[in-house]
Amino acid sequence: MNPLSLSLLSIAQLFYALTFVLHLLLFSGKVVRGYRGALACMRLGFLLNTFYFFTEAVGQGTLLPVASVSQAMAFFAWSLAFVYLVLFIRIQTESFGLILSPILLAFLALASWARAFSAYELPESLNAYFTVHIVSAFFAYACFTISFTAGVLYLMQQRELKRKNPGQVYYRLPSLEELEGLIYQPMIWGALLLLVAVGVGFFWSKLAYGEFSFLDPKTVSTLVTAALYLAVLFLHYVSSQRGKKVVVLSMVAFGMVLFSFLGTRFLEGSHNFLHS
Amino acid sequence: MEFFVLGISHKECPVAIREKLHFSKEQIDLALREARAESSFSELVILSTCNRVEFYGVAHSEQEGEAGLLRMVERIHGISSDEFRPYLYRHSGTEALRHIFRVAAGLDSLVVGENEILGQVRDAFRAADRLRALDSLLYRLMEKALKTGKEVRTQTRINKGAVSIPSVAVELAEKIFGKLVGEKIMVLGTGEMSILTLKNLGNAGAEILYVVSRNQEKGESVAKEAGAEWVALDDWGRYLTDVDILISSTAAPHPIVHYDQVREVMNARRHRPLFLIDIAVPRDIEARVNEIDDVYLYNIDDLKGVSASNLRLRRSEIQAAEELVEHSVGLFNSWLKQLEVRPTMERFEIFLSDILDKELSRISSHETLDENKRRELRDRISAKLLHQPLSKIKEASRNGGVAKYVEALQALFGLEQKPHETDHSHRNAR
Repeated sequence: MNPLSLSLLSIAQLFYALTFVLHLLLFSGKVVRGYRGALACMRLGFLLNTFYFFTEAVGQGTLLPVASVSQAMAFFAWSLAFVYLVLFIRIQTESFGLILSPILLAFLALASWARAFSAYELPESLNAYFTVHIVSAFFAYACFTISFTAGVLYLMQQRELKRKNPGQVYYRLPSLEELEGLIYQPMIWGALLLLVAVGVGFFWSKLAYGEFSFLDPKTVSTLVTAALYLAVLFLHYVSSQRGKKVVVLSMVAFGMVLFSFLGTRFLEGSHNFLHS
Repeated sequence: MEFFVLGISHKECPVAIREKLHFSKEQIDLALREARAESSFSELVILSTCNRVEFYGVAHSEQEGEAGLLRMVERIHGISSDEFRPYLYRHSGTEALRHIFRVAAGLDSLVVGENEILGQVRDAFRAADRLRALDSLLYRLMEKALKTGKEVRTQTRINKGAVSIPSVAVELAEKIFGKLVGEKIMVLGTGEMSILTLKNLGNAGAEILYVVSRNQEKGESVAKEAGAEWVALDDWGRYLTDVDILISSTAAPHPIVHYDQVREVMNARRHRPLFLIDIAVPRDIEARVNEIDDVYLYNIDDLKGVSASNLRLRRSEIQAAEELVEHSVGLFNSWLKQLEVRPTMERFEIFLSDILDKELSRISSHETLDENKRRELRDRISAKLLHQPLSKIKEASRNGGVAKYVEALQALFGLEQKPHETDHSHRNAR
């Protein structure tokens, strides 16, 4: 990582940290105004993260510099911020910012920490398929993270309503109905994107390595993740099931996302066929 | 001229007296018309709500203004002023300004931060303006009070959270279902509070589906009014699956809504949330029902608890609201002081212009200086000479000590104040 990229990543972290602090102050009631400032900080963090990719792309002469663990973490943070700030613009509230800003900060911190790890060697000729696979997979994960965030907020608001002793959570969070919508809408997009990522991934692995790779940990866990999310969506939309239990199940599915994305790196690497 | 406030409010005055003094719209119009004819005050606003009757006036003297108003109240309401005099409060000067800003901000209300008062102050202002009972001073004051009232509500959370039981029920329903659009309601029993809560939820957008009662005649009458269907008390259970909100307030001595029954209903509803409001004492719904996922049960004490929390939240914002009010009072006082200085400054300007005119006329008789150039030169010198003292006086009117400058100007240049000049400046200030 060149010094400019490292600086951009560090300053982006600073802005995300500031976003988190501002949201904390707002949420605790210590300040009444400041949400616009917090949102501006998050946008600046996102902008710096974007510049980081430009410098990395120029440095490596590639369109999508995500071949190392560090770059993958930074790209996930970028995708999440993009989905939140650009695609799901209507859900921008202080409550979402409160949960998302530490997640963004954590992934950029991981990106800084993991910069010493080596990058994969990828076949140059198949870059277009790889780009579609990566972008759809990361955007799917970002959508699932938004859905998960709404799920956390749903359970917080539900607990507050059950406790009957309203505090800041009760006043600041949207209604259960709105939060429920924000769980399932991004989930649909996430599931579709994940299916695209899986399909293109199989195709790419066949072209690049001559075989469909079904049995590496990341592929298996991704298929389990997709199955879980499809089950949740079936329960909600087809079986009309509502309420806490389905939300909890969606959070279990997100646990699988984390395992696919982070956990499999501690088994036999990410996609083990990349190392063969 | 003195600005004053005279009034009675919920704080001291019992409702029996307040209701006798309440002004209807027609009575306000009549009083304002009379006020225009009355010479004891020059401007008047009448604010009459269920919690207060207040007069905001500008008079030659506070005593004169008060006497005139008391005569008017006695005439309009046919009540002796001795009956309400012990409850009267009077404010003048800065205290009066502060009072009206606090009233508009909802800081003097029975329910702190309530929004209704802002609309009532606006109506009082409009009525006075329509009947030309306002001039520059009260007009500007009312405008600023309304602006401050709005600022307090947008910059603090003083008006957040419902306080009355029916509005708490609506707030909770909206926290569960979002904006109420056709959520279905069933009411068990036709008690006063349950009907009030039902109406509030209906007004918020929910659909009243069933009215359940033992007394068919009364039940049908309530159902007809609400556009709902009457259901007999023995038969309501099978309808529970269809509704999202259940309000219960029967006189039954034991719970009539049971845990197992609601659990079954929730399975049939595929866990679509259910909001149960139990206003009855003794309670109609088993407390354990709240343990079922996606069921939100609130009894009367729970609703009161939410109301108390909301009030606490509002009270925690009082300090911030008071600071905004103080800032507005300070700005208005500063404007008033500038207004007081204006006649002296105008005389000083005329004084300077006269001298410059004379001296420049003398020069122009020797030099070639036409009329336009002479005037231009006079205005430029006058503006340069006045710039420094005007800035100092403006600053002093904000920070205090403006009187010494005015006195000095008057003494040094012989600028005595002529009668009614201050009143005239008020009229031109709007």
